[in-house]
Amino acid sequence: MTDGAVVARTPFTDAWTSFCRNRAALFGLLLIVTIIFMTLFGPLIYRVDPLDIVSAPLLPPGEDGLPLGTDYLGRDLLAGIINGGRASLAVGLSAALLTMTLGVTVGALAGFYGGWVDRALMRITEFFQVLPPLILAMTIVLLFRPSLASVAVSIGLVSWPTPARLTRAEFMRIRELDYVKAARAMGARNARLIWRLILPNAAPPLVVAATLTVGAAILFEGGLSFLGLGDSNAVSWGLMMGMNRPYLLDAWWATTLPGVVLFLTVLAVSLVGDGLNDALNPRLRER
Amino acid sequence: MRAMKVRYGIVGGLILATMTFAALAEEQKTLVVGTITTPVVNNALGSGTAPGTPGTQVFAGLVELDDHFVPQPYLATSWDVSADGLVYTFHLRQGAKFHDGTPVTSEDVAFSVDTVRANHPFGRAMLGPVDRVETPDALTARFVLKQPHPAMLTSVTTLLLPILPRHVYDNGPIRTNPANTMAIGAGPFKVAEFKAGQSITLVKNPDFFMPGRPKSDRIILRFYDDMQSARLSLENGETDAILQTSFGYGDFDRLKKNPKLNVFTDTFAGLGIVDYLEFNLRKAPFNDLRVRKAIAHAIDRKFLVEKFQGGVTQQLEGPLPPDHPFATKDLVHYDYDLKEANRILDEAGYKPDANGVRFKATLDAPTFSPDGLGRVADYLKPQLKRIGIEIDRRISPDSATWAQRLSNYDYDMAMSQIYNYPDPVIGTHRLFLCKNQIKGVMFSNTGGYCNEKVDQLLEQASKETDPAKRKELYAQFQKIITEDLPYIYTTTELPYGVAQKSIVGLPKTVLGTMAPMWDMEKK
Repeated sequence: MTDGAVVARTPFTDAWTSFCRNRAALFGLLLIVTIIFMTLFGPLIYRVDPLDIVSAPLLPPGEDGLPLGTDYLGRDLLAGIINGGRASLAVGLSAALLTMTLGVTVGALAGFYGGWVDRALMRITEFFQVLPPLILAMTIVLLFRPSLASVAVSIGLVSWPTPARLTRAEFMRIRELDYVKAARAMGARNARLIWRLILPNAAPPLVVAATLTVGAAILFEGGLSFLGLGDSNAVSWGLMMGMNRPYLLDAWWATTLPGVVLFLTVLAVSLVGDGLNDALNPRLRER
Repeated sequence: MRAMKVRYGIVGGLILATMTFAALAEEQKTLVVGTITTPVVNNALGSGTAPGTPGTQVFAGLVELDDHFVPQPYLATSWDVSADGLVYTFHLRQGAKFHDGTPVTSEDVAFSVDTVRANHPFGRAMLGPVDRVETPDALTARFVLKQPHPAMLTSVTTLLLPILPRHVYDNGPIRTNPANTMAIGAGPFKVAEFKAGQSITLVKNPDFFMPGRPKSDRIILRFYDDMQSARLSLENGETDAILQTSFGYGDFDRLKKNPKLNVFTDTFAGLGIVDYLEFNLRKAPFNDLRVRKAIAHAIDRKFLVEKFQGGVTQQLEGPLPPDHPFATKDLVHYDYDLKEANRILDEAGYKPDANGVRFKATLDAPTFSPDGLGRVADYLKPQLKRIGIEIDRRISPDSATWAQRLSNYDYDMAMSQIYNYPDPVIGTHRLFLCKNQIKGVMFSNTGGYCNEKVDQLLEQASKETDPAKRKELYAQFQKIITEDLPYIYTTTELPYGVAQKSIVGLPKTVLGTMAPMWDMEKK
């Protein structure tokens, strides 16, 4: 053996190599990094308050020194898009976090314990599944009042059943595998079985689901804001689209540009999710 | 065999052609008119364009206002006023019948007065001064007043006092009467179908007492709540007319350029619609006049009119629109001056914190006026930040939520709107009278304004029969309001109507769409 030339193969490096082979996924990753960079550092570079009226309303891009023009109140559209990303991404990420936490907890308990625990939890899950998500989310937002937090919570509360089902299925499969049975026979406690043995092995599909949930949550936030149920005190892409929609025929850019950025973000997240799915799924990896 | 087929083909073709012609002929006399959703046709129960539009087609009133605010004979062919102004005698038209064939009598007039007074939001203001309605014979209705009531004739138009057939509506609680939708009146059109949430089909009343009217056989009043689709339906010819739109002012120019459409603004003077910023005067710091003055200085009305409302509306400084018969120019003016606004707040001791915030306030706006109220509310957020007031712009999913917050005093500041109507007694007083603070009732004195001097002036003006003196009383009132600033007025609202150019005989009135469409037809 020659020394040091071979990098140790771990599941992570394997997945990364496989991920890198997927051009679409790489493109998505690049896009996402760009967008995150833009929303994190953009406001420090382009220092215009997105809520401040800077010029006449509905100026087309390029006029009055404003690269993307102005919205229906005369606010800088570029500043809105840069700052709006913070709200959209923050809501998307926190909603996805809530979705996954709720979903994985419920799914893990149901899948691991089975029996009456499973039946009870699944009935609750079904209850949430049969309600139309958008209507339920709108109701929750209105029960409190539209704010970034209530929007994130409402998205989390309507989206958790899918990861719960997924987690439950994985847990039911893995808990019957030999190594889990062996550990149980050796006296491992339930907590150890769940945390150390089953959850890590159930992780790959959940990681993919979590990524896709982020995209869905961003889109969902856009939808709620578009319907006028967003936090009107914080700029977000969906809100910009909703607020400028009445002026669509006079000023297409004010609605379209935030929409394009929202589209690119969700596309990027989906591409990365797809790439992760291919990379983490051992059956697909060999293709 | 083949000949048979050909013959069938010809016969079929003929039948089809006849049917098409018949359909076309029918199409000629049917008008599709867009309006906003209404749960009832009976406009004795509610104010505004929603019931007012169908109500003025189905019912007849004693008089109609023409385009110069002058009452014209309708169900009443003439009327006499006693020298002291306390007795109005209306002579009803001979042979006028309700849709079910029963004649219109003075009994029905008396019943309608009682019903409207008890159920219409302005009932007390309009008909409160009427002590009783005497019915010496079937065709004479004598209104005996407790006090002079200069707005009397304006209050007996179809919009405000529809004449209801007593035998139909005096039948248990009126709110649940089925004839509130399938209404029966003496107007030019009958209700043929009421599709909740969709449309009302009106058909010609063949026995209508005015010869030659109505000109159209059928009017379909189609409900539009989404203005985008309403506008498109006009542009593609599906709808013949929307006599009062709530389109944005941005659409005004574009619709005007459309060669097929007729865009008009001349029939709304009697509505006197004004937009204003309202304060909850029960709460600090909004009960501080200096705060309200500072805010008044922070609003650039010129910008609102020119940039948001396409120059269609007018800047507004007092309670009545500049073209209202009772408007005055003698008001306290608050020029757009942010420095002055900041100075006033500094002096009043509202110190800005580290973020430049002096205090926070919530701001509500309804959804029904996107360019007038919604957009101005959005504008106020950055604008008031410049004078250190941080606005929490609360979103309402619909106008009902906004109305609920205001009428239950659960707000700090709100953009709001009122119809003044041709006489201040009807539309204006309700916002200012101390005693008109009725929790739960929208468009009452929700802010909690109370000034005895104003109450006295309004009380006097409602009885004063000399027009010049009356105008002077209202001028004093308007000046005091701009001193006290319970409301900060922003702009007028000018609704506009849109019709296909092929439609002639649009209602000529000052009440917009809430007047009989008896001359409307397609040419």
